[in-house]
Amino acid sequence: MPKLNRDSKLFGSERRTEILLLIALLEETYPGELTRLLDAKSAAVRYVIDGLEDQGIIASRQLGRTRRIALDPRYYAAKELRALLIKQAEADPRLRALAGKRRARPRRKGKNAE
Amino acid sequence: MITAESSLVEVAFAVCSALHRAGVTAVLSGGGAATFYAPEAIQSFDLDFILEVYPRDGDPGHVLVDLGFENVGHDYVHKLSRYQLEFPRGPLAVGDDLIRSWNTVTDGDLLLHVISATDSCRDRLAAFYHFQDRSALEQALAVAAAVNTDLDLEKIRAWSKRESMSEPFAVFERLLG
Repeated sequence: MPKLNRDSKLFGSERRTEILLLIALLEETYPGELTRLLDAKSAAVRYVIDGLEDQGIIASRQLGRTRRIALDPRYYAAKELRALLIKQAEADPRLRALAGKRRARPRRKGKNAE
Repeated sequence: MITAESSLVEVAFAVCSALHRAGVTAVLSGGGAATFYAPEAIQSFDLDFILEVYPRDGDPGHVLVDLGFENVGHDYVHKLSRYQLEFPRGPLAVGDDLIRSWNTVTDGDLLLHVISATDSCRDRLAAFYHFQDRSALEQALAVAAAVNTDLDLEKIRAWSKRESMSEPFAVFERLLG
């Protein structure tokens, strides 16, 4: 009997799919953030990211010591892929909640973390 | 034969010809194509080939090994030459535009498939548009200056508009003079 699970394997595996959806929601992120949000193993996240980058779907760039990653806007079907991912991600309350854990707005120096 | 002294263009010809003989159509793109058009201004050490025709059976990678390359991760590194090969996933495209034709240049019995100068310019501009990469802008300008009248500026303008990049295109056009 198949495992009772609503998580999508649309992009190959549950982990790969949720990472891709989360990258689309966050617009720009980094491996450490994905690892923390998904409570996943760092090596597993990096493996998926490397694979997505190899396919040309995401692009990474080094900013200081951080590897920033985002959907590659130069990808042939970038707009269509982004639209599909966003639609899928917005239908997933768990992923939306995970993306919502990230605070993006500026924090004044000296204020306590939320 | 590829040696330590071989230029990027010589390596590109050797690789493309060997792959061609193995039934593979590999088109030079990226910084390598930009260097092909503007060798005085651009020096890339990466040769990005997009595979347009590829046999389903067998592994044509052996022809690269025969040329002295070694497969390291996703790249092919040469024992003597500093130029390394990458084979980014296709399709051959710039943004939303598929590239359906390219230039085929011959040198004796060698050949090289390379995206057109206009597409090379668009390829470099894509990096400037999306990543604000000023070095890519300079490369686009160098390619444009090198090929001069062969550049289809209207095609680049129309594509930039479709990509919602008319503003950065204006920067390119202004610097082009």
